Parts: sequence; C-alpha cells; structure tokens
Amino acid sequence: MNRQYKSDDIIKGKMADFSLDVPMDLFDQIDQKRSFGHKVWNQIRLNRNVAGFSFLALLLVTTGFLSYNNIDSKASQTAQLSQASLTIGDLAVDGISKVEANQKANMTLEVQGNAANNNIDRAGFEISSKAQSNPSSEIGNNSFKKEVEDLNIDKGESINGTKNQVFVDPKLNFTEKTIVANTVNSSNIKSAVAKNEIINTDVLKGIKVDGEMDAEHSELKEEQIQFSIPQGKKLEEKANQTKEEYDKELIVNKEVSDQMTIAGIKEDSANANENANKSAQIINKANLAIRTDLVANQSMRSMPSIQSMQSMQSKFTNASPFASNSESSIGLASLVAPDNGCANFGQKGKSYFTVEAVVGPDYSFKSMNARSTEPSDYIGARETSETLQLGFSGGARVSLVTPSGMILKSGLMYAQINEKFEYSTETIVSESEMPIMDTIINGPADTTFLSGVVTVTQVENQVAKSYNQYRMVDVPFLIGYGIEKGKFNLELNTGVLVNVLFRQRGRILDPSLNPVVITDNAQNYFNKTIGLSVYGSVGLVFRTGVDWAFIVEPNVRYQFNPITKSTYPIIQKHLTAGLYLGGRYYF
Amino acid sequence: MSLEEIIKGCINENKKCQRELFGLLGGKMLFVCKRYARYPEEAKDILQEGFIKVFDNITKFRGEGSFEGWVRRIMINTALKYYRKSCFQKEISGLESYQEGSEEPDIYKQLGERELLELINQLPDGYKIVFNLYVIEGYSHKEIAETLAISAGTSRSQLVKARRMLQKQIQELYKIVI
Repeated sequence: MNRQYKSDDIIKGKMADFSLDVPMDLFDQIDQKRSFGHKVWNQIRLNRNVAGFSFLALLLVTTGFLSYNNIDSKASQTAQLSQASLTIGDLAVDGISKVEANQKANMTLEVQGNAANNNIDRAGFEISSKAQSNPSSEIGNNSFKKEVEDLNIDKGESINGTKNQVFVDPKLNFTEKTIVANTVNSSNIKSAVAKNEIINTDVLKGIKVDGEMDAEHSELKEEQIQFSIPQGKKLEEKANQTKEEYDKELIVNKEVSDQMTIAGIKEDSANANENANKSAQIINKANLAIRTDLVANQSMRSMPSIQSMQSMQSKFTNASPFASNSESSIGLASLVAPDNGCANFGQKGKSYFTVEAVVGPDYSFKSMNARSTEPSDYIGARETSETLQLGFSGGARVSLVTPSGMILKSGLMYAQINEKFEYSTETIVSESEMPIMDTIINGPADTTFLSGVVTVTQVENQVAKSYNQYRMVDVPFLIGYGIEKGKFNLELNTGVLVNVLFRQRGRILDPSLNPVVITDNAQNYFNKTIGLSVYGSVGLVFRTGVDWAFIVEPNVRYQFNPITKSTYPIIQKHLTAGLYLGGRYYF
Repeated sequence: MSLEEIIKGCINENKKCQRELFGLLGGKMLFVCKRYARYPEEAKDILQEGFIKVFDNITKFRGEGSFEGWVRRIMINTALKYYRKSCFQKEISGLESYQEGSEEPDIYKQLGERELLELINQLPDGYKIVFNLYVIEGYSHKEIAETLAISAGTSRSQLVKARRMLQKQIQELYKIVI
C-alpha cells in the first residue's frame, strides 16, 4: 500500500505489534464459556471423514432396517408368484416371530390356495394361536386346530401322536419322489377322521424344520391334509380318483394358484387372516385336490426362494458405502512460514464433506389409472372430488465432494403432498304428496277450479370436506456433478429416493363413491412404503462465506411404484416438482 | 513449545496448549481490542469473545498464512460487531483536504504506544475504526467499505476527519510541551 504520510508508518510501527500484559484471569472464563457442543463439533470436524462415513454407514443400516420388512414381504410375494411357498426352514432358523410367521403362513395360503401350503405352514411355524370359529368349513383354518388322538395311517412312524400335540422330526425333508410313493390309505384316514373329535384347540406347534422334509415323513403331511378337509368328504372322492384325474387336477391346482397370485399378491399382512378365509373359500368352491405331491412341489420350489431371499439379505447387508481418499489430517508445515497476509481457507484439491438442510414448496401431479376398465367412473369421481394443493418437502443431506467435482449425497428427506377433498351427495330424505285445491275467479260467472296433487321432496345435501395429506420419508442416494464459477456452483444431481415410510390422512371416495377416512390406512388402500422414486435436480449454490452457502435447487421426483395397493382398483402415482431453498455447511 | 505444536494441541482441545496460545497472543490481541473498544472493559469482552472464536474455529485454520494474522482478524471482526452501523451512516461522504504538518512525524515518534492509544481512543467511533483499519491494520478503503458495509467514499472521508482531529490533538499536545 502506498502510504502518503510518514506519520502513518510511525503509528503502525508503534501500534501494530505492541503487547500489553496478558490478562490470564480471562483464560479460565474463556474455557468455561466455550460450549461443550463446540468442543465436540471441533472433534467431528477434525475427524470429518470418519464421521461422514460413519454417518453414511448408519444411514445405510437404518435404511436397511426400515426397508427390511418391505423387502422381506416383497421377497415372499415373489416366492409365491413362482408357486413356491415361503420358506419353512428360513423362518424357523431366522427366528422370525410367531406373529410374522402366522402372517406369512396366511399369505402363502392365500396365494397358493391349497392345503399343501397349510401343511408346510404347520410344519414350519407355530400356528397354535390361529383358532378360528368354524373348524370344519374351511381348509386353511381348521387344519390348524385338530386334536389328534389316534392316527391310523400307513406310515405313522414319523408322527408321535399325543392327545394334544404332534411333533414332526426336525430333520424332515420334502421330496416329490417319496411323497408320491407314500399314498395314504384312504380308508384308514377316513376312520381317523371319524374317530377323532375336531375341537378348537391347537395341535401342531413347537416344530422346527430346517427346510427339508424327507420321504419317510411325508405321510405326516398327508394326515394333516386329510384332517383339513371338511368332514372328510373330499378325501373320499379323491381316494377313488384315477392317476389321470390326479394329474389333471394337479394342473387345475396350478392354474387356480396363478389366478389367486395375481389377485392377492399384494395384500397387506394385517389382513392376511381375512384373506386366508377368502382364499380357503375359493379353494372349496374350486374343489381343489389336496395332494401330497403338491406339498412336495411347493416345498421343492421353496428352496430357490429361500436362497433368493438370503441372497437379497446378504446383498443388502453387504452394501458398502463409497470410499474417499480425503485425508483427515491438517497440514501444519507452513505455519512457521513468514506472514504473507491473511489465511486461506480453501479446500481445493481435497475431498470434503458438506451438510445441507433444505426445505421448499412442492406441487404434485397425480396420475390415476384403472387396473381394469371397470372403475372409470370411480376415477372420474375421485378426480373431481380431490384438488391438489401446494405441498412441501425438506430434509438434511450429507455430501461427499471429490476433487473432480463428483458429488455423492445421502440423508433423510420428508415430503408432504396436500390435497383438498370435497364431495357432496344429495339424499332424498322424504317424499310426500300434498293435495291442492284452488279457485281462480276470472270474472263474473267465470271461475276456474283447480285441484291436484303436488309431490314434495325433501333433499338433504351432504358435503364431505377434508384436507388430505400424503406424507413420505425417503432416504436419497444421489450422485451429482458440480461446476464451480467463483462464488457460484452449479450442481446436477440424480438418483433414487428409497421410501421408508408412507402415511396418509384425510378422506377419499371409496369404489362405491362414499367418502371414507383414509387416516392411518383405515381402508387398507395404500402401501406402507412406496419403494423407489427417481430424483433429479439442478442446484444453484452461492457461497456466502468460507463455510456457508445458500442453495436454490429446483427438483423433480417421480414414483416408480403406485402408492395404492394391488387390491385397490386404481393405480395412483405422483410426479412432484419442487424448489428447495436451504443452507449448506462446508466441513 | 513451537507455535505448530501449540496449534496442534489446541486442535486436540489440549488445555495446556490453549493456555500457551493465550499467553503468547493475549497481550497483543488485548492491545488490538483496546484500539477498537470504547472503554477498557469492552476490550476484555472483545478479547474473550475473540479467543472463544479462535478455539472454536481453530480446525478451520489451514496453515496457509500467518496464524497471528488470522487471530488478529478474528479480534477485529469481533470488535466491529460491537459497533452499530449507525455510527458511520451519519458521516457525510464528501472528501475533505488534509495536509500533514512537518512536525507531526517527530511528535509521533516521541509519543509512547499507550499515549498514542489514548489519542486514538479520543476519536469518535467511526473515525477511530476507519483510522485503525486503514493506518494500523493496513486495510484498503475498499476492504473497509466491505467490512463495515459503508461506501469507500465514506471510509475516505472518515479517515481524513480522523487525521485532522488527531493533528489538532497533537498540535495542542505540542503546544503544552513547548
């Protein structure tokens, strides 16, 4: 700097480096006034890479944990689609709770729709709590609650019959070959059915099967199947079948099973019991054969399903966070260098983490398509009664920015879609006829007499109105690229949002066009999670200081999966456009 | 213990190192604070707050430049927060002339640091801050303008007024001495 005045140099020389006595008494106050949070924060900054990776790992684990049920459910559904019953051994080994086991048992029953699955269920799970009111009307349920007193079947050695329990050998293996060979003596079975009282107490419990049942124990299944047949009638019919009829019926079974798979695959497990009943009724109507070879087939098919599930789980748990080469240490070599002016806080040439919080308005575009051609009126009614309104979304994200400009981003996001529901219905409350009589005098000697009946209709207009909310919690996994131009950064991001929670509140019209409450999925129309959404955004980042930046991020996201269940007649999805505003902190 | 070791210790929240650092720079920084403070106790408050910031943000120091310069800048920024913007807004930004007297440099040479500090502290807040930033810290008018959110013209005007006021004070002092 050109100094115009000599006195300036003199003043600077005297004042700039002059030191007073150090007030050491202040030091203790400084230490006391420093917040604990800052001290911890400093350590996090110092070990930011470790902290960042730990956070991402935690996020992955949390996502995995939250998504586990969803994946598990989908995996079981996939297994059912391929006509394989859900794993016996898998569930037993993994120690899944009794309730879950029951749910899966029912789901399997629903989809597969034959007694073979019941058999597997009974072998694999503890289903003692599944008492139903009618022990003889439905295959799926009453098979769980027979009391076995005196079994009289061909190869009863695998069954240790007691009054209240039947234990299955844990080493049981299911094989088609052996089961076919072990045909049950129908007369004996009939007598067994006849001899044993059917009472509503549980029989089969405490059984652990490691996944396979061998030939010599197959008759146990047969016995259970026979017990599951209402009053043994069908058993008698089947016993007289020829081999051709037998094979033909097997094909029929498969077809029916396919149909039911399509119809019921995405049923919520909470309603599995009810669905099981329905399925069982369908089975009865279809007059399905109950065959041990089906048991074998199902069991055999279950093995790939087990493997696929285990493979899915292992893939999930082995997912590793991305790596970074950034260093956590701070170079101090230049500290002793001569004073060259002000410090430089730049981070060029190193990977670094940022944390950002964003929030902003959203506008959603709803698409509703019918699953079949039938409910077109219903879609129209829903579209008329629901008006989308401005929603919002926001959340926190952690980013790893590499020297090359690549950005890896994850965090936790919340989004809320708002809509207004308004529907009016007119109900005729009463209709009555009133006689009227009137006299109109038109002039002298000109009078008109009127008489008749007037119908009086009382109409009640009911207006249902509510503000609906669809709320989502997502974990984003984004990749992006940033271009730096002075204080401005331009970032392009894309990736997926993994939904971990989906909830709704308000009212919609049901298929009968009656307003119904959907809060907490009261109607069971909506999925609990909605899987993946694709996300894209353009981020405009303005550095307001060394550590902070302001973000403006127009974004768009589209749901791959419908928010509605497969049993609901409408496929509903949302495309959402939003604008995030927020702040970013640079570590 | 070297400065590098002290800083490393401070990063690791080592209290001994923090005390060392405070002992090393506390006196200098207190003098800086006194140049900006309106009264002695305020200087201590600024110093205290400034060192809290230093310890809280020491991980951000990358070692590219002078550590003392970094601490000094924190102290100055902390001190400036104590002033309200209004003390600059009242100033008219017209430039006024100032001519340094021939005897002035000699008088400044004869004055001690504490006396000079006293003279500077007698200046109005706005004058004092601009004078400190420009003459002692070496800021340009543009930097001062950005730091204080005023125009560069206002900064120049305040500096001229500060010089004239100091000149007047020195002349009076000189008369007393003679």
